[in-house]
Amino acid sequence: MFLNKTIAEAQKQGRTFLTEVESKSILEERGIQVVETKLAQTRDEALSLSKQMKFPVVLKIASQDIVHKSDVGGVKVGLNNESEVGAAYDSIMTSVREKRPEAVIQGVSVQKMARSGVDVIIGISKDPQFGPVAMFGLGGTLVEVLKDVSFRLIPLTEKDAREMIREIKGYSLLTGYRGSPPCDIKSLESLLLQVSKFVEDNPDIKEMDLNPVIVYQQGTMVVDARIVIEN
Amino acid sequence: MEKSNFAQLDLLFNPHTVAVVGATNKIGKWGYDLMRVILKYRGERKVYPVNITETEILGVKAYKNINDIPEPVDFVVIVVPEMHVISVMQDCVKKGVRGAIVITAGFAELGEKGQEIQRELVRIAREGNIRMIGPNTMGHFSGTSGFSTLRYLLANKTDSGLSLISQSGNIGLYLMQRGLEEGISFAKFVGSGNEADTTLEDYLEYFGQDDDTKVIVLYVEGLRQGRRFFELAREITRKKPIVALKVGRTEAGTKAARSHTSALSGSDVIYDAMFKQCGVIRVNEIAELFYTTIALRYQPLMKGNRVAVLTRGGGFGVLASDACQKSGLGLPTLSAVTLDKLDKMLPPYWSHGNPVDMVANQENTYSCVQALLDDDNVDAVYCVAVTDEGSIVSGVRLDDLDDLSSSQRENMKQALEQRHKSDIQDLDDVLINIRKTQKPVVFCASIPSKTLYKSDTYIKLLQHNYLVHPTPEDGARVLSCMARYSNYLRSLK
Repeated sequence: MFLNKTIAEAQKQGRTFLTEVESKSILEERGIQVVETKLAQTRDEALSLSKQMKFPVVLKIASQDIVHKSDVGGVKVGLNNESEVGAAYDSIMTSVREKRPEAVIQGVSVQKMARSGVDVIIGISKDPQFGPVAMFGLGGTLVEVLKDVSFRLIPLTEKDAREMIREIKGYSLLTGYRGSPPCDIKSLESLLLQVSKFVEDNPDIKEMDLNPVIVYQQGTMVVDARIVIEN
Repeated sequence: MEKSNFAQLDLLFNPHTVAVVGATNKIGKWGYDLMRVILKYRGERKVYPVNITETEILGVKAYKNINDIPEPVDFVVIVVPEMHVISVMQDCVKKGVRGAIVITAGFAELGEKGQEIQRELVRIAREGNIRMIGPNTMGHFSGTSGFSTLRYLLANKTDSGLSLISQSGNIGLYLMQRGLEEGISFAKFVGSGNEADTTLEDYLEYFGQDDDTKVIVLYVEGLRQGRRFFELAREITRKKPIVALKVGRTEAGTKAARSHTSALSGSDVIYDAMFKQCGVIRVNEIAELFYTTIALRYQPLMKGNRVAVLTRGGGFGVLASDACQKSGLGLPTLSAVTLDKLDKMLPPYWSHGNPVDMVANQENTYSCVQALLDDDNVDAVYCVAVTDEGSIVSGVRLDDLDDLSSSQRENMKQALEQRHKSDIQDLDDVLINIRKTQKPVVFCASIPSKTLYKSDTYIKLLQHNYLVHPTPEDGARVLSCMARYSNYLRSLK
């Protein structure tokens, strides 16, 4: 199977995590909505992919050695035309080569800029006592500060998925806060269950962050994905 | 649990023939106290002391070795110094013993060398098909079969249905003693010690299937088989409540993590989620553990989280309402019919709402409880109004009449006795009716506990298995735990 092949291949290479492009493609294989993401190995490829996707786009460094992409200047968002994409590509490469000269670079990933909605995080970690555990919370960079998250052991039941969404303090942000339209909580529940099933089928997944996942009035979209694997 | 496993565990709590290796006549030794307790509870059970030098212990003939005992022995209590434990276990295997408890400490808790000896002990026991409790345990107890390996007399023969597994002997003993103070014995107890062979999860599975057990009480420091615990608890809580005190709340997630998720997954938040997911009621304090256990055992399930609060004054009303709301309980509006009923029983200046403030009224407290229970908007009543009213008229007590002339004193005495009799009679009637409504009532004192403990009201409530909680916060937490458990059961449907 493709999934196992990707993970197995990475393990064979002695890697402990999948790249963003790999992570998203195995999620997509499971029928999970992810933001359109393609790998560009060169500057020219980045330009032509962004034209195909239609602007605005996002560029992110693609390297099997770099987990925290923003920390090394490896992320540029809201790029509206070819010249901005070109400049972003150059800036990413210069910055990453300076900050992480030893990193092997595959290129950049070109992604469609997602519409805004409510950002949430769906995560997986492995507890030494209880095995894989799912986390849900309000997403974005503030998640570790606010700690407004809920947990359940995997596999999740429908009841678990329902409860872990409703349990967080910021739940009202999803039901339509001060005139904003209510989010598609049904789809969010389904996504949690899909992720749970995915992890059950792939015991070599050690940690995973889907952050952010954007929840819309209809549907959800995984914007960034990070999968850490056993080695 | 397979039948054979159940039988093996069951034997630990109800053996036929018992040997106590390390029993002694020396006062102050563990082997003396323990032998005394075993003999006191023994009933029809045969008990053989084993001691290498003493020939008779507490009036019972002693043997030098288990293998000298002239009949089969199915359970052995081992309370010898640690260097002899291995050889005693080998003797047990030779004798064909089926269960053992090793009270002796000095094993895995001491580090690597102790761990090695403990592994050897387990290997010998398992090869000999012996299930072992401990080592390093305070003992275990069955109030249903009348068998105890404790050093203290801490429980009576009982069918209370309360079974306790404690990873700390001291906490277990505390809870049992606490129970005795209130006249409630635990039905089964095990101090799981080092859990070298049988673990908390084994006992949990056993209590889950044990018909004598109606509520399972846990003191947890750390689980050895977390996944198994989760799967077991999820099944068991459908049939009987599990209340757990898990310590280590403040421990921070310290793992070096590469994802946000791992950074946020401290061990305690996972325990918390796991308990919630499998319907285990987690409590935070030892008193709360005791109170909640008793409430879940003797009270009917709550159908929602709406509580009517009944008090004798504004202050307690506020304290109790705040505590209820903080614990996630709601205070509903009372129906017109209920307001009407209360109007007839209370002085005109009562609060006319929930919380029901009776405004220092001394009469009809328990009839007001009944009226509130009959209200369809109410799922439980929180009566924060228990005093020693049986002995008070206008604030005067029977032991406080010195200032009166002898004829006044006589009149007052008669009045008090009259009042006392009718109050206690009322209370009895109401408590019997309350049971019929199938809604929980939680009581809380509105006078300090030491005064209350001596009163007939308190004793009467206890006889009906109602604890009187010392503070409004205590009772509110208990109500909240009851609501959590019934919410969980409803959410399964």
